[in-house]
Amino acid sequence: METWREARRGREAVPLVRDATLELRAGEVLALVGASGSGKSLACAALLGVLPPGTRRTGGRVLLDGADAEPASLRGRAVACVLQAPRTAFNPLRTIGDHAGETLAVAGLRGAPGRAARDAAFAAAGLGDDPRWPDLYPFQMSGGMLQRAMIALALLSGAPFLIADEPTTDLDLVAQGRILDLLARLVRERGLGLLIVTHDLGVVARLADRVAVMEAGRIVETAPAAALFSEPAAPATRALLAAHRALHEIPA
Amino acid sequence: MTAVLTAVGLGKAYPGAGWRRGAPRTVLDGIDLAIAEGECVALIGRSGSGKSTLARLLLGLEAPDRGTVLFRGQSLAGLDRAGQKRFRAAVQMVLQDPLSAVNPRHAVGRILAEPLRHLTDLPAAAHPARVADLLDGVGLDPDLAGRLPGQLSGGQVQRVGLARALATRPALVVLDEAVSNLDAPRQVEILDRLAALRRRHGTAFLLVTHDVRLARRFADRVVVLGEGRIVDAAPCRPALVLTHPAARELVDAVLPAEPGRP
Repeated sequence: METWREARRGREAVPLVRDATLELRAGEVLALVGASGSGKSLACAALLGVLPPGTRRTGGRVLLDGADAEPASLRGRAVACVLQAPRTAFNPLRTIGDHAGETLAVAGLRGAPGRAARDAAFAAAGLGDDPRWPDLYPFQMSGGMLQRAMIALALLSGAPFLIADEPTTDLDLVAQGRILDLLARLVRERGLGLLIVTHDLGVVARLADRVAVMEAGRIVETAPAAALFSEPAAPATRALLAAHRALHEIPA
Repeated sequence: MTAVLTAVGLGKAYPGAGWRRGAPRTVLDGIDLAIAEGECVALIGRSGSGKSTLARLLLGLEAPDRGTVLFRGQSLAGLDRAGQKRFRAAVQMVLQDPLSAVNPRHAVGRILAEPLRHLTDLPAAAHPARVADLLDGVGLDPDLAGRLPGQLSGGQVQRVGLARALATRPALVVLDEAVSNLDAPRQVEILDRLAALRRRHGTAFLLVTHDVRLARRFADRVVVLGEGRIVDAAPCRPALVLTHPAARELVDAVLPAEPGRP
């Protein structure tokens, strides 16, 4: 079991995320939900040591297997990352094969074993059917394909944890469903620990084991997914659930 | 009911690009669609099905290769200057990415006054009051008129875009994935506000989306685009029944409302 504890941070004395504590376990999906601007992405950025300019971490610790760890040393090794906008996450002048090469270099894999690992990761992410993928540039791929490529690179890094920040928000619902199926399968088969950041309780219902709800920079509730839907405790959770159910109901 | 906007046999192809240069790619083919006064139509389809292209053709932002778009019975291509101005005032649109749809150097008040200045006869002295009205109508504080878009949240800028589209009291508003990126509470809030607006002013809406939930909640009828053609269409009430595989795919992709249920 692995544990992370995090984060406390302020911008010019304005606290943005306060006392946020998350615990992510291998083989489990933890969803971090909250309205836009509640501090979800910032909490993850602090965890990975990639805070945007103008913000800084003012407190908190990250623990890996119970031992203190530096966020920068986790990135790409213990924790891989999938972002919301796949198109901006790739270098437009490099092919997908080039991107995979960079990840392999970090992982220290070369030559034939490297290529085999690369092909296995892309096949696991559902891109193996198309033999052209290493030569494709990001603009030649759909959003769903790019998101699969990003997941493949995350797998290639061999990191036991994956942070997915709104991984399906920019995709249409059909592509979203397939990416969520893929993530669920990887968690099941490889025992990945997945932290998925989302504002969509439908994603939570589909995928999550446990849920942490964030509001105004604080975690206001943490519960198993089923319990959160049946007995929401915090007002923020109830508001999110009410809107979620209103979208599913059909007005007369 | 008369139609605000009618598409007759619309077709559009874009020249081939990238590594498969050559044959033009047909994006839309044989589209017939009529939106009546006060009607709310949802246009749904997967990414790349041609939804946004159709929206652009309907708004006259691009010319179709085949077919025509009629505004209250008159072809868009044949409108004179005065007719174009009437068309622009009557048909407005809201886009998906709110920040790219506003000038970042203009204050919110100026952004909202622009359509008033160009498309209405409202005297300039009456603009500030109207701007305050519009902001209030989308649930924003009228004091925001002095702010720049960069000082607002994404949801607030999206509502500014909506207020701007409503500034000319249009007969039809085209919403191209305009609420898709918002979180659920804001989606519900905006859809409820738009529904209230419909009841008050009889505004017609074309909601372009890939989310069947939004379509079902807001629209009178749903039109499904698949690979550039209209493949299915059905009323939303009493219950939305879609049969075409491309439409079923969209319906089945709706995520579960509760955990543990398919």
